Amino acid sequence: MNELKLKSELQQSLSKVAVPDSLYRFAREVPDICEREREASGIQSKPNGRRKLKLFSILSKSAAAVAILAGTFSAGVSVSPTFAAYLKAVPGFDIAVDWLTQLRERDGVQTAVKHGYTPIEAKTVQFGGTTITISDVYLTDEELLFKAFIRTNEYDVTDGRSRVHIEVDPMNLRGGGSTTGSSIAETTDESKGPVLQVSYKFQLEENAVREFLAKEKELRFEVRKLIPNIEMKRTEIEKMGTIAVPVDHSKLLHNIVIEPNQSLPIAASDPDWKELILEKLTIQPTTMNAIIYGKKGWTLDFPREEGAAPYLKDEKGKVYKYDPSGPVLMLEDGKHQLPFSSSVFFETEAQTLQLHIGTVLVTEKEPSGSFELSKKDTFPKTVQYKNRYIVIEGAEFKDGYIRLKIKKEYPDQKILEGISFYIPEYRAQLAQNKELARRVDALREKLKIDGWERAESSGSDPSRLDLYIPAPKQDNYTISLQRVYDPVAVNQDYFIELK
Amino acid sequence: MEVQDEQRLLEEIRNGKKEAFAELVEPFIAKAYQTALAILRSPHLAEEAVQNALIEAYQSITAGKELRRFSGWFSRVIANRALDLVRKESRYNGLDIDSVIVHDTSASPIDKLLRKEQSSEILKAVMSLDTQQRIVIVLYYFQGLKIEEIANVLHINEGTVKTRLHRARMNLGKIVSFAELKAKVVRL
Repeated sequence: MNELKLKSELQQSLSKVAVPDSLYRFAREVPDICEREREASGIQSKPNGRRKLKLFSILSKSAAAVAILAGTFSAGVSVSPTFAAYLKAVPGFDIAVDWLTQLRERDGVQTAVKHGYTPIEAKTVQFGGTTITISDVYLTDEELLFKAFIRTNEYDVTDGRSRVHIEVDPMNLRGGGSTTGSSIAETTDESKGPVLQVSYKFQLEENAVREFLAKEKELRFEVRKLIPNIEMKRTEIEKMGTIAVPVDHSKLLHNIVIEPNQSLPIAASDPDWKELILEKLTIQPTTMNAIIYGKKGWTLDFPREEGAAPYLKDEKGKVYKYDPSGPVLMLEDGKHQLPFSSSVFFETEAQTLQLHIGTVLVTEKEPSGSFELSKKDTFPKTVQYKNRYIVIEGAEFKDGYIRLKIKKEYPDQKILEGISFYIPEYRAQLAQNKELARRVDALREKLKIDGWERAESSGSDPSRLDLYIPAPKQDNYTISLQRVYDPVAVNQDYFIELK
Repeated sequence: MEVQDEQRLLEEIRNGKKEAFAELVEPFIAKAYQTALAILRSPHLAEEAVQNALIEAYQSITAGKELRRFSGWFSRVIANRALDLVRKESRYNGLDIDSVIVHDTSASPIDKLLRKEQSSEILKAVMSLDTQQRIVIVLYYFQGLKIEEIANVLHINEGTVKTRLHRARMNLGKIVSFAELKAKVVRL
């Protein structure tokens, strides 16, 4: 078995699994949570002390308050009766309007509702002590979005550590999906117990919707209780019941699909990347998806941090944020589907949409350069790699590794970003020979370095970067160079014709 | 993130600047969640593991714990917190992690993320391994922990980690032909 391949494939596939946005919000709330916990318990925090942790609302009250009727709703838009009714409509529960508005603004439901598009009615069902409402159901040609609101006496929904969970799964639509967020809903009838809200997004298989519409008149959701069985060491799944939600085919709007196969030229000087290609833009009533690709033999990554993340913007200046939460659609080599929050679907006058690409991280699958290094070399020695000149100012040939001193390109440089330096044959040996790998790991610890194969500032020499490469004992080496997560600062806007 | 940046943010957190915490941890959240998800096969539990790790991180930082390199330390924390949740399966039976095999049902929530048309063969193969083998594969090949670190996290000796890695690789070899490894194409 090829270990490098295993590692690389696992890294690539697992890193594409979407991360719930709620975790990023949770991270921002952690200091306040800890303070509240500390004040409540009246004790000082303990290092490494872990306490029972509740599932915290992903939308803090303060955040919700700030967002009351913000954005499009407050901009003087007249509110249709349907919208006004829908604002309060999570049948079965009295959900706080502000909270619901905030939630729906993020996932695009608010925009659809604002335009009177509520094709699938919410449905509430009670199973014993559990009340579940399936709401905000949107079926497009390629996705199913819905929310489940759960109030139950089966378990404490506010307890994130509960062994028991209730999940809702569509039964008669083929596709893969996941939750995109969960939170404790802010209610106005708290005395009746907390309500857990879970948002789901399913990416549907090709033709799944067509086949569904041809033979089905309702969406069926199975409600299951998951109970870990300690003795049997398995999770028991107890079917609680089925919720059937009628679907009126005639009410469903179809996606607007634009296939521009449009070149997105990259003005920034880059030796390998002159353009990306926008293959397709799917405008759904709730969200939008863009398919972008580069070229074979490379992988692309798009950061989610504001400033570097891609986004769409309409002619009125409304921004549709990149939202990678939910299931990941794995496309053929090099292609990416970028999901964006909310949609321009109902803006019938819209002529163009602006796609902003901030930073793209590019990784090549094989090394694309190399240089020879010998114990007889004199320094400084300049190596050209693509459009960069790397000045090696010194080398130490040690037992198990080579240390190169690289001249900084600018005074504050902390790292030579995006380039990996290595000896492929030795790296393969390390992957095969665990004892050798262990020795190299121990060496890294001893040297107190964070990683091999990359040039970074160690602080010991302010004018140089240190590069450590695992290496066998020999007189001459061929060092390979490979672009790995190399950021290409595109920072450009591209106009997509919608008409 | 640079060591200097980490140290600056750690100092800011200790000085009460709350926003610095999110700035410090955000780059690590995705990998932490993906690691926990692969170990636990449950999005709910994976979220819980990451939440617990974040809480622990904040508490440790504000309590003055010396962290030479936050990223490496946080990798071990997330591994430990995910393992906590696995261990919960065994605690009541008085078993230790060595002998725990969590049988995941076919309807486990993770399967929704791994429908065959939408995930790679290798990921599916790894997820099909039993818990013991899956843990070492994920920690070693994805989270990048060293054999020694995995041994510490699992409270087993390094030889056992190596044995599990070996067996896991053998099993993966039976499941996946690497010549055929490609991300599946989903036609649109």
